[in-house]
Formats: sequence, structure tokens, C-alpha cells
Amino acid sequence: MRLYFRILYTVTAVAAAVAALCSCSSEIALGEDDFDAGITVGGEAFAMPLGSTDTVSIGDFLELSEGDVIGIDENGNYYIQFLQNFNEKVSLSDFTEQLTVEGLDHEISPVSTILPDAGDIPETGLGGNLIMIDLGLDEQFAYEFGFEEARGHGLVSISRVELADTYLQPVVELVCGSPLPESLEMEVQVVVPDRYVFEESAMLEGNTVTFSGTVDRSGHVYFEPLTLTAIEFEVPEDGSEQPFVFSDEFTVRNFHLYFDPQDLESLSGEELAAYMTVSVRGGSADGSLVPEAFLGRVDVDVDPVNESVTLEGIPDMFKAEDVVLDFYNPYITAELNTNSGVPVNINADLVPVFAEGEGDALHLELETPVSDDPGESAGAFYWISTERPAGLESGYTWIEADMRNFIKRIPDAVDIRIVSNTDPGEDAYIVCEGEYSVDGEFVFNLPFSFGESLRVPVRDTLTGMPVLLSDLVRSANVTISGELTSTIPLGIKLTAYFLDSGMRRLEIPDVEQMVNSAGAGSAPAVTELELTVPKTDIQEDIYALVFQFELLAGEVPGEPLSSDAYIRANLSLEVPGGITLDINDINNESNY
Amino acid sequence: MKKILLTISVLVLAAAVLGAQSRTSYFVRNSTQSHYLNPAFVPDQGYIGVPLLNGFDIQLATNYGPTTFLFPLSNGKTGLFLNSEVSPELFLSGLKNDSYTDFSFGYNLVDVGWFTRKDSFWTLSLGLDVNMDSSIPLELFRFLKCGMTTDPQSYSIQNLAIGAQAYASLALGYSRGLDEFVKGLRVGGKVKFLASMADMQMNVDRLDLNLSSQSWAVSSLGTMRLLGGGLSPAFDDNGYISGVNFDPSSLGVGGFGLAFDLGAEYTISQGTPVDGLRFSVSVTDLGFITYSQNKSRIFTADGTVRFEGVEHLGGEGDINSQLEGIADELMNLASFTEDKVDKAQNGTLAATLHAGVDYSFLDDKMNVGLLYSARFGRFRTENELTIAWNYAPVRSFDIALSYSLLKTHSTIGWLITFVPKKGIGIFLGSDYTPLNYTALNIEGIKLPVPAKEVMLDVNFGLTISLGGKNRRY
Repeated sequence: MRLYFRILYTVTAVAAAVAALCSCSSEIALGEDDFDAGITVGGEAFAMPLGSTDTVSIGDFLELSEGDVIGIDENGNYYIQFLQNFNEKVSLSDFTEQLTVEGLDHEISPVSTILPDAGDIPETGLGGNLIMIDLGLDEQFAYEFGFEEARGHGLVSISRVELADTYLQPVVELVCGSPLPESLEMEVQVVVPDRYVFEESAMLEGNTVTFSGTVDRSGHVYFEPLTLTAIEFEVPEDGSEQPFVFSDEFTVRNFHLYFDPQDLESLSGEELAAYMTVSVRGGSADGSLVPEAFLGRVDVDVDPVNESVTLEGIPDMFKAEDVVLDFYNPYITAELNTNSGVPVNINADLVPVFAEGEGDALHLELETPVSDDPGESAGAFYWISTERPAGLESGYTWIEADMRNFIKRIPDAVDIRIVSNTDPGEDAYIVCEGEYSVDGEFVFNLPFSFGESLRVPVRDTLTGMPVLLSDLVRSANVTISGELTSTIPLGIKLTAYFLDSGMRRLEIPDVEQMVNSAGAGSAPAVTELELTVPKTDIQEDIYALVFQFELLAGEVPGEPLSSDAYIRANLSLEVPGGITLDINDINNESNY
Repeated sequence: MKKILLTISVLVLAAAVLGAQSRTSYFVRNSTQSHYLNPAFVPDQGYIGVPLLNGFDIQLATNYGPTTFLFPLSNGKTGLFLNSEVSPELFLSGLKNDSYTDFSFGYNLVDVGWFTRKDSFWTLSLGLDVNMDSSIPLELFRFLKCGMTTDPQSYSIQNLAIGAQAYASLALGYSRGLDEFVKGLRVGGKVKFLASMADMQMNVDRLDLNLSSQSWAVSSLGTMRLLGGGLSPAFDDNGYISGVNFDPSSLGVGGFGLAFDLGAEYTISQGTPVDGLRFSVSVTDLGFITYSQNKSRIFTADGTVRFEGVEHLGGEGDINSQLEGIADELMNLASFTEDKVDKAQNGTLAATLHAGVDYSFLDDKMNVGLLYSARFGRFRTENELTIAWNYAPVRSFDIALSYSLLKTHSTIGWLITFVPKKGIGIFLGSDYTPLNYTALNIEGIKLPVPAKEVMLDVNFGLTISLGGKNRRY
């Protein structure tokens, strides 16, 4: 028992000593409702690099794609280019009919003679011992024709008509009571007007055409026809109107018969009558003279052209009324090709068409080239601009035009209205059956920059934001900072706002920042970026972040835009005061 | 009902926290466990550990506590140290330069000690030990709490370490008095045959963080070893270590080793006024474990990685995916990559030095002592100075109190030992009994827990005394 008490005493004393030393100084409540799961991490100056964005070129703003109206030239500058072709038929076929005239069939008054005795007639010395009998014919007659109807179809003057298959040929029939000998030959001369142009022939000497032939037993004579190639006309040099009625004098004379004296013996005393017709006939069925071509001046209207080129592929934002583009060196190239021998004056009106109506038209007067051969084309090239380009390409003819006034902003379409007519002041060689046309192409080249009134909004929506961002915005001001480098010679207004999962705008205030425009020569401009999203007690989580870039006029409006121009941002995330989170949310990893 | 369950849980924990290596028992003359601290020490009689209750040993020791990381808030709630209401100064002032966590689990299958001939004492024990420890430098907590206070901000985190080890040991000990040579001198030693299952050790010697809005840069220098089986690294898609997994299929003996305990004591008994003054010194767990080449994997982290954000931010892909990519990239900044192992690897044990002096008086019924111990751990050396007072009113009963310095603060130990000459004996005590508690109020149930350090260590054991010669009596 003594041992027991000694042990008990000792244990009690030690326990009391230990209990006296121990103390409970505080209480920590860890119940479900007693624990605050909020934590703040990151520090007062929390910042982390987010990275760099893609280089966003001006093309990304313009949403260009292959084949668009907006293109990039070899120097990387942007331009709008579109073209329009046209084709005009120059119809001159009417002149074939209008210049076709009836052929000439003139009957000479019959002549007759009593055949003498051969001994009464001296030999001719023309070969053999032929003797000649002059029928004593000397008759004049007129060939009248005119082109008056052609005047009404635009013929101004004519200096030459070329004829096809047209011949001068007399037809003679001899009538005698006795059979005519085989040796009988005949000769007659036709004196033609100076304007008649014949094919070169031995029959032709000056204006006199000598036809000769052998008379057959039936009394007919075949004369070799002489080809009439053209008729020439005088055009008044004083500018007066050319008469288109013509009367050409022909003379038939020296109608001679040549007999062998022996054959004439049997015919002596017989009466011989001669009937002759002088013809100038063309190749047509009725013998009309059909022009193959003519040289003259015509005043013919060409069918008008009304074409419209619609400018597709241009972002609508460029067509807004408040978007004014600066087309700093616009020009049009025109190419005209024609096989026409007639110079054609082209009067073209280029009219920009907008939704609200037409803009100021650009009037152009172009002259087509002239082709010497309807089978070949001749071309002409025009460069139409406000100022003559320093290095005008060879072959181009520069035409001054007020291009800047013509194209102030991008139209929906450009109407091309062409009224053309042949040039009545210039001689033209016209093939009557020729198919004439004028092909043309207008190419509009409009290098552009943005003017002072520019405002082009482009939005980029980043979806799938982590819930963490929502918590950040709820707990603190969040700042997206960094540097934004721009070589775009335009101002950019950057706006950021947030959407919920229903793509509805959240009540977080928009954050905005201006981005400096690049300097001259697209020298990079660096803008310190600081987009502060204020702490907002949003009800819905953030699903999407929308960056809206608005291209605005730069400090130097009119700077050309280059495809190399870009913006690029190096971003970092700053959460002053740190990131406040609920560790219960962190445990739910699907949220982060 | 809840209170009952909690109470039972605490008791079970206390019962499970059985230990055999109580510093407080160091100067208890009749302790059956003191030979674990100094193999020269012997009890008054032989003993056998009670089967199954022979020895569990679970220790948890930290130099931080709940109040280090939990703070009362103005709204009446409790918040983490990361709560914005908790100032960095307040939080950091509660931390040591290194915050360590030591956890050990031991289970003795066999523990027996017996005397042979005169003053020769033998011990035999077979046990399993699992040790886990970590050391986290203050700078890491400063980084977590303070983050970026300026832009840029730099941190240099040094000597971050995590380790775990599991091995079985078969120990044979022998202690003998050498009075025939030097009166009062006794020496002892143990040889331990070790079979290790796994040894994981990660040391981050240096982790420099340079943070700014422009870039986050991490320079890391560290090594990691996975020895034995049971653990396998997990790799991410980039070949970086993403974690360590438990791999039951590779469980088994991964390495073998040998260790020694050596000790001596000298008691003055020359008829002088200081008779009864005893000096003792020992070193335990002096050894190694060798792992074969194919059981060894080594990883290193040595380099600098700079993160400057994501290229093409906002390009293709979902923003969430891009941010996840950022997170993955950040996680990989300081990751380990595997190196080729070309030879067997050695694992070390945590040797411990004990040096004590105690003085008994009142006819050997009371003694006081001063014990210095140094545990040479893998990551640090723990120094401890313990003042102990023992009182044995009767031979079979001993009660001891201790007060420990250096390693902890305001910590007392206590031990009650009852070891009859024959029959079942018991010992119950704790080296670390924190004096400053806080109450964890969980749904109305208040649990006292150490406020600033978590030192859970209860020693409990049942032995059966075998009688025999008592060297003191």
C-alpha cells in the first residue's frame, strides 16, 4: 500500500506540473461555416507575360483574299483594280448598197454601109493585104449615176470607188445579106472619162480604149473586155459639199472593118449594118457596179456601249458613306484595238454608281487607231490620270483627267457609257463588205490610302475564356498591358469588351485605348498598352473577349497602305493587389 | 456521438503512436528501450516484447503548427495565410528559416533482450521503418505569400528537400561491462542488417525565380533519386517529371545495407562526492544501403528556362487551351529530366549522436541528466538538448520529466515506466509535449493541437520481464 501511494503521489504531482505548464492560447474554427476559403496570390504587383499576338497585317483588317478587287502591287501597296471590256461593231455594210449603181448599157445608133468593091479601097498595111472600111461612127453618150442616198447614210465625201468584176466591153452585131467571110475583123475605139481607172492593158492608151476582134459567120464580134478597177472623184478642196451625181461622157469612134480583098469581092455591093452596144457592167447579176471599197469620209454612228462593272469583294466597311479613301494616284489604262480603216472617235463617260445615286462622271475622248488591213488589228494605249506619270510606259498616250474627283470613295459599280462615231474629217479606206469592230478595255487602278474621315471597325472575338478570368474581374482590377507596335500609317482605336455565353454584352465597362499611327515611311510606332478592366461584380461568367480595332485616319492622311504594314502586341497580364480566389473553386479543376 | 468518435480517434492515434526511442528514457536506469539510443545501456533484467504490441513507432514532428498557416479574420472566420487580411509580416514572422516535417513509422516484430554470464546483455530486434521528411525554406513561403511586390521581382529558394525511405532491419546487440578494466565502464554495439524497399530523395539546391511582366525566368539546380522499388516517376508529354507514383508491382527488396550502433557509458564510483555521475556517448545508425544499378533512377534539374508568353496569342485555338499551355509550360520550368545511371547507388541512414551526463543521488532513486543529441539527417542536422529528471521511488517504477531545447521551444517530455523483476511491464511517455496549444473547433468539437509546432510522439510499450540478475541491485 505504501508503494501504491508513493506511485500515485508521484504521478499526480507530475500530471499537475504538466497541466500547469500547458496552456491553450487560442481557438481555430474550422467548421464548414467557419472557414474563409478566400486566398490572394500573386502579390501587389502581380504581372505575367502573356505573349505576343500574331502579326496582324492591314490585309487582315481588309479581309482580302485571292481574286479580290483589292490587291497588292509589287511594292506592297494596296490598290483597287477592276476592268471592263467592251466591243463595238462599226457597221459600214450599208455603203455597199448605197454606192452600188446601175451598169452602163448604151446602144449606139446603128450604122450601115454598102460594101464597095475591093479595088476601090486601099490596103491598110495592117498585115496581110487587108483593106479597111470606116463605118463613120463618132458618137458621144453620157453615163449618169450618183450616190445621193449614201449621203444620207453618212457619206461625207468620196474620192474613189473600187469596183470588183467590172468591165468595159462593146458588143457588136453585123448584119449583111450574104455570109460574112471568116477573115472579117473589126476595131472600135471608146474614149472614157479621165476618172475611170482601168487595169493596165495594151488596149488602153490614154483615155482611149481600142477594142478589136474577129467577126464570126453570124456577124457577132467578141471583144476582150477591159477591167474597170475604180472610179475616182474629185473632192472639193474648198470644203464645199461634194456633189454625188455624176455624168460621164463616153465617145465611140473609129469603127472600122477589115476585109481580105478577095472576100470582099463576093460581097461588094451588099449592105452591111452594124449594131453596137457599149457596156460597163459589174459582176452582179443585173450588171450593177458594186463597190468593193471606197476611199472617202464617212460620218457613221457606232452602236453605243452601256456596260457596268460591279465591284465585288470589297468589304462593305469601305463603302460606307463616312469612309473616305484617299486614292493618291489613281489612273486608268485604256487599250483600244480595231481592224477598222475608219478612225473612230470614242466618247466615254465613266460614272461611279453608289447606292444613293450616281457620282460625278469622268468624260474621256479617245480616238481609235486605223488599220490598213481589215484582217489585222491596230492598237492604241492610253494612260488616263490627273498628272502625267514620270515614267510613262512607251506606247502609251497620256490623257489628263480629274481622277481624284472621279473616285473619292469606292462605288458599288462603275457604269461605262460609250458613244462613238467615225471621224468625218479624215479620209478612210473602207472595204464595203469588211467586218469592223473596236475592242476596248478599261482598267481602273486605284492605289489607295485612308482619308481623314476613315473609320473602319474590325472585330476579333476570342471565345472560351477560362472561369478564372471571371473570378479575376470579380475580385480585382485586371490590366492587360504591354507594347503595341504598329507600322500602319493609321490611328487605331482599340476597344475591348466582354460577352457571356449567350454572346450578350456583359456589364463590364468597355476599355479603350488609342494606338499611335506609324510615322512617315511606316516607321514603327510603339504604344504603351494599358487596358484596365475594372473590378466588376458580374453575374454571368465571361465567355468571350472582343477586341475591336477601328482604323482611323493617321496623323498624315494620304499615306499609302502597304501589305507589310502590321500591328503586333506583346502583352502581359497585371493584377494589382494579386489574384483573389476561392480554394473551393480551385479544387474544382474543370473551372480552371 | 461525434465527440465519442473523435475521442476514440485520438486514443487510437495515441495508442498507435508507439515509440521505443524516447530521449526521456535515456537516463531511466531500468528502461528496456534505452539500448536503442545507446547500445551500452542495459535494463535491470532481460525482457521480451509483447507480441503485436511490441512496438509501433509513429512520429510526426514539424516546426510549424496550425497557427502558422491559419489566422483569425475580421469576419470571425478562420483564413489561410494566403488570405489578403493576413499581412506578409505576420505570416512570415511565424516561420523558421526552414520549415521541416519529419514523419516516421516503425514497427518492431521482434524485440528481446537477455543477460548471459556476468554483465553481458544481448538484444535482438526485427523491425520495419518508414521515414519521410521535408524541408521547405522560408523563401518559398515568402514567394507564395508576397508574390510580386515589384516588377521585376526575384526570389532565390535554396535547399528545398523532400525524402522518403522504407527499410527493414535485423539488429543484434551486445553490451558488456568492463569493470575488470575500468571500473564503471560499459560498452556496447549493434550490427544491423538492412533490406530496403525504397528510397526517394529530392534536393533542390537552388531555385531562382525572376519575375517580371516581360518574362518569368526560373533557374533550377537540383537532383532527385528514386532507389529501390515501389515508386516510379510520372512523365508528362514533354518528358518532364510530373510526379512520383506508387507502383505496387515493383515492390520488393530494392537494396541491402549494413549499419552499426556504438555506445559507451562510464559511471564514477571511486568513493568520491561525485560518485554516481555517469557519462555516456553513442552513435546509432552508422551505415548505408546499396541499390543496384537497375534499381536506381537519377534525375537532375540544371538550367534556366525563360517564359516570355505564348507566341501567336489569340491565334488558332481556344483561349482556354492556350492558357492551359501556359500553365503546363510554367510547370515544366523547374522539372527534372532523367539521367543515365551507370553504377550502383548508395543510400545513407540518418546517424544520431548522443552524449549525456547524469547524476544519481538519493540512493540512486533520483537522477538528473543533460543529453545532447544530434541527428545527421539527409537534409539537415537536428540538434537537441534535453534536461531530464528521473525519480524511482521503488525499483520497478520510474517517472521521468524532460525539457528539450534547440530543436523546439517550450517542449517537455515525460515517461512513466513500470518494469517489475518478473512479469509484464509497461512504459508510457512522450518526448515532446508542447505547452502551447490551440483549439481546433470543428463543427463545435474542440481539439487541442500544438499551436506553433506539431510534435506528436507518444512512447508506449509492453514488455515481459524475464528476471535474472539485476546489475544494480
